[in-house]
Amino acid sequence: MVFMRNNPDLVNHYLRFCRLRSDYLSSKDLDVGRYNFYYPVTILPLINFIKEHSIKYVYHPNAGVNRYLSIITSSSPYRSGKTYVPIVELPYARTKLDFTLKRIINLVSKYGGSDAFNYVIYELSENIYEHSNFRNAFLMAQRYSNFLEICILDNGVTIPGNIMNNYPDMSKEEDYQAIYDAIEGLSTKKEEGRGYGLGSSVKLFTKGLEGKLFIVSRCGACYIDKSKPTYYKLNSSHRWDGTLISMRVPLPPRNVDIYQYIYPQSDKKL
Amino acid sequence: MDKINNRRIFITEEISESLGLRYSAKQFFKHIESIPADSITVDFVDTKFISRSFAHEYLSRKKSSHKRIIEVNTPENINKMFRVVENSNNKRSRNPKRIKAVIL
Repeated sequence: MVFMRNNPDLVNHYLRFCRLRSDYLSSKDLDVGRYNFYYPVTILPLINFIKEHSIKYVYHPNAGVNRYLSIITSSSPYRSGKTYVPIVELPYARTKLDFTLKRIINLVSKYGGSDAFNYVIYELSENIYEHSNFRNAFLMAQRYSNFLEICILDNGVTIPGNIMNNYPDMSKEEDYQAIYDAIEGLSTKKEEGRGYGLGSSVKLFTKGLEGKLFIVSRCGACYIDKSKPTYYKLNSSHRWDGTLISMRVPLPPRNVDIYQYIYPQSDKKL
Repeated sequence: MDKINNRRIFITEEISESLGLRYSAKQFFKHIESIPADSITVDFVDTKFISRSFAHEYLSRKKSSHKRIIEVNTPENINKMFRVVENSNNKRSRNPKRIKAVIL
């Protein structure tokens, strides 16, 4: 094990959520005024936390931030021309999912990278429905001047939980190892040809779109960009009981040939 | 000789130009199986995108169907995704690599 002081920005902004959560659990006061800027990687778990704890009143002393949080958390419909997709709660019924995802893909692929965004958003959403048995699942996207952040999360059985339920011999594995195994293609579905969704999405997003990606699941986490991935063992105040994936991609996104990334072993046959 | 009756289905009319969800592929095949025809021609004209999950479910259902299912007007990107799925059907063994982690 090693300790590291300089965390990537996505990790640090997830830790902001963890501090707010810890403070609330000890004081019963959700002090969102503690920070003056919120990225999706902080907002989305916070919304889930607010819902789970039935917190009725959230107020930020800065009027601009307060208004932003109010808009982004409202159930107002997505309007084209905006720089964000307000937080979308993924429906339990898959019949309504396609419409929801298409709204998001329209926003995030406005400046290019349509195939890659389609691929990643569909695959990650599929994983939630296929594996997580969630009670809540949310998705949001926000465009900034030079990058776009997309965050998707659920409060389901987690990647390590799912793997350990299906592979009892792995019950003593560290959670970060389970995340690594899932990215490498370990599938809990017994059919052939399954288990490629997460790993191929990670590869396409980080190598194809040259984005950054942070995955948190139970007490494990992983930060990946085009260089070497970093895995984390989280202490109890940083755990996420579900799976959170937050992604940042530089703008404008590259138009990539997704087939170069999603299964390179078959490139020659394509 | 028995006459084989054939029906042509435009997949964009049944689903959309973007074929994303595994669930949509399942529903599509429920519809196909309910059609009283021995042979189904699935027309992919105007299809823009297919996800890996959709392609996997489509090919799995096609394989287990008793009907003869033929694809026509399949754009190159759709064909590529079908080939990706067909070429990744070997169940992989677990990567034995043990990784190190940072404490956070």
